[in-house]
Amino acid sequence: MKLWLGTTCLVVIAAAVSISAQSADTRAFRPGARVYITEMPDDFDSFLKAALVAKKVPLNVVSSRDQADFEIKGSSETQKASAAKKAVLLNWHSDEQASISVSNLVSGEVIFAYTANKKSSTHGKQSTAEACAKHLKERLQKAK
Amino acid sequence: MLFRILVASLATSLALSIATPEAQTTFSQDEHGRIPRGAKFFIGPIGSGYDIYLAAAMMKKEVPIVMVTDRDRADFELSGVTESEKAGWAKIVFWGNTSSSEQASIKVVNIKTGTVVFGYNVNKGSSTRGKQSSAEACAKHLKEKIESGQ
Repeated sequence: MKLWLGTTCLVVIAAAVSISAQSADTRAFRPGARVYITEMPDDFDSFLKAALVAKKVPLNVVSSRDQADFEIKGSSETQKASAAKKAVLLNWHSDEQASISVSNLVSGEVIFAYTANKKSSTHGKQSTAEACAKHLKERLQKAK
Repeated sequence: MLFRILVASLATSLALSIATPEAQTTFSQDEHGRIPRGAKFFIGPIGSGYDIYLAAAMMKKEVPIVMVTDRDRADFELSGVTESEKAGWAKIVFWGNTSSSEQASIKVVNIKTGTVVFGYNVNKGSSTRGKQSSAEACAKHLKEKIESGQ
């Protein structure tokens, strides 16, 4: 009787562990994950959203933080070409730098982060946003 | 009898793994300023979004820590300051150098004891990659500190 009870208990616990592992798995950062992009300085979030589409990053961007499993935070900085750079180097392009981090909203863990730095960026913020999107896509493809 | 003991011990270990999932990741914090591998770090907000550059640098340099966004879940808190200075016209005209000057300072505090366990300053006169360079220098030295085990 005791042996039967012990075995039943073990089976129930094993099932609970399996269910718990599956529910955690659905929140894994893989293609199709729901992400919320927070507001960023200089509207870099808009550039990032456009870049995610341009680079075909397989993520579902949601408009509400409550619907998301992951959150993307970021920062961006633009340095316009100075008069000296234009006059001496004949270069009108801006210098861009941006950084993003992706965190799991449930565990609070930062699972991905990337910094892009473009000297004389041909397409301004678009270049850094697309660099971030490209590396995010690579990270997702590894998680497949 | 042996089978019963085996079943009981398996059940206990499984129950423990469900009830206290964080028990596996906890560690004893050293009182002598050591930062153990796998420690949970909270990076507080730093001006100009430098905290995000630092998070990216930690990833790139493979610093053996877990970064969390909630201070209550962290063992250590990283805070800092940063300052950038654009290249002036003289630097561009005479040196043909458009790189900015960067300086940053970080400190790591053990949240439980309040002890400062690590501090580092970086100063780049002509930073090739702006904030990224200074953030990666900080990450590199933090990694050295953790790996040295001191």
